[in-house]
Amino acid sequence: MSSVITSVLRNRPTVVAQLTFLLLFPWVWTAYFLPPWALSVCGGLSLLALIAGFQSFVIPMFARRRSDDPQLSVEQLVKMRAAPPRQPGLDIKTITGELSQFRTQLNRWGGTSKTSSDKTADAKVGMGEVISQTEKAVLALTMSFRGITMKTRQQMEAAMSLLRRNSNELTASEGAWLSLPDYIRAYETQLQEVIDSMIKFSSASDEMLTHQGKIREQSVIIDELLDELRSMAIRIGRLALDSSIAAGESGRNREMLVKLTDSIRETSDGARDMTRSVRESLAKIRDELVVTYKIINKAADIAKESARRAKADVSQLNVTMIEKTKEVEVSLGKINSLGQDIQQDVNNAIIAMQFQDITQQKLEYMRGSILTDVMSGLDLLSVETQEAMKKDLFLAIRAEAERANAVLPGSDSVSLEPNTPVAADSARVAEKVTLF
Amino acid sequence: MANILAVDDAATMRQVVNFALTDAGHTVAEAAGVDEALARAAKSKFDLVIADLNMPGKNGLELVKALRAMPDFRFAPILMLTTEHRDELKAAGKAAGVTGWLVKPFDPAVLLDVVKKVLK
Repeated sequence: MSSVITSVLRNRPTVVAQLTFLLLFPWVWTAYFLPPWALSVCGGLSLLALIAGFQSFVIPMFARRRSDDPQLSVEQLVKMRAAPPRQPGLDIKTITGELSQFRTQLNRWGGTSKTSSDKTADAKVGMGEVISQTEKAVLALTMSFRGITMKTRQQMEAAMSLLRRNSNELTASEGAWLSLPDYIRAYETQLQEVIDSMIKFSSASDEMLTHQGKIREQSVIIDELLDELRSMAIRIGRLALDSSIAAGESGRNREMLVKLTDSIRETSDGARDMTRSVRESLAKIRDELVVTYKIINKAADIAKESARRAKADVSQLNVTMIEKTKEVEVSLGKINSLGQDIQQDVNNAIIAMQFQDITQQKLEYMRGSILTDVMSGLDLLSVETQEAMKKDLFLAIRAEAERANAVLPGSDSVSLEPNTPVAADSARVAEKVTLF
Repeated sequence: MANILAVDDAATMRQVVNFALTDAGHTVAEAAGVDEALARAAKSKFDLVIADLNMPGKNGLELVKALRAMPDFRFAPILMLTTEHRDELKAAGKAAGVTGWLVKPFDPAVLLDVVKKVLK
């Protein structure tokens, strides 16, 4: 509004003065009827209005003339030196030129709309490809992720089953394996059984040694009996000899008695030889018994030592095993805890994977609705623009332009380059146009 | 464990639902659209149907209405798994016969909890 007033003040000051006079003149007669104080008030107010109007419109209007003032800021200077609004030219040449420019703009708009529509179509296809590729990628990712989580779970379950399984499962299915604690318990039991067997063996060895002592005692008795037997054989031999002598001296049945005594002596000698043979055998048995005794004694000592060591080892082993089992339990507990963490991560990953679907839906909506609408709108604009350029107005402008061109052969002309897309497009709509 | 039908046009979503439910021991069949879901429902009985709302062609509510018209699915639980969370849509779902409404993205634990509840 202020720019209009400024424009009128600047360009038609006399008209403004005349108008003001005409507006105020009918009220001059009121001065004869009003009291002096009212006239003073009205005069004061009119003066104030005049000053305000002068400050608001006249000073800014002529401010450009004060642009040399060194106190003015850059912005003020730019504002002051700004060119006044261009007055529209009213001659036919200007109108024709501007309409021709407008036609060029419409041409460009049509071309741009067409290009934008094509690019939007390309974007739509590209968006479809992006959706497809993303879906494939996320699908592959999901499958791989599923494989990983399944394997991780199997690992975790295998680890946890070391503690969970018990001996009942062993009886339930043949060939089933023991849990770690059960295995330790079974190992401990077997080791204890081995120790017990070794202790029993040691006891049996001791018992054998006792029996061997008894055998030795019996052999000593046999030895004494053999001594007795030998002594008896010797005495019988002597007795037979004495009997033979006595029989020789008696003269009766001499020969028969000699034969008898010889026979007795031979028997006595045989008994003595047998006794010697038995004694030799007994000596050999005794030697064997000594060797056996030494071996059994040694074996018993070894068995005792082994049993003692085994017992000590088992005690130590049990303590170590229990500690190790506890460590394994702690480790498995950690594995279990990690498994739960992994499950939580899996859940989070599943949630994250769903964003692909949500994004896809939004993109599908954009592709299916928004881009299609944009394309349709751009196509419509393009067609409408092309149709508009075929109107009589533009044909008349073209004729006028050609006429003016013929009248002013020296005037500048602007031709639309045929190799630009816009020009090529417009060429399809209309023939080549020369614009000013 | 239940026999469940997952209906979604997005393969990734079907895969994710399958993953979450199979892990818990359920058997999951998949359908990429309403027509495929109805064909599957005609052939075999499912304990639960989990369907997306926005699908190309017919939408999830149409599927629910069609399922409710089938004798085997008159009382079967049907869950709607969708990105939509407007109350008017939920009301429309309820009117169509939807048992529950889950908004994407979902937490597998929450899905399993809901499945457990509706299968009771």
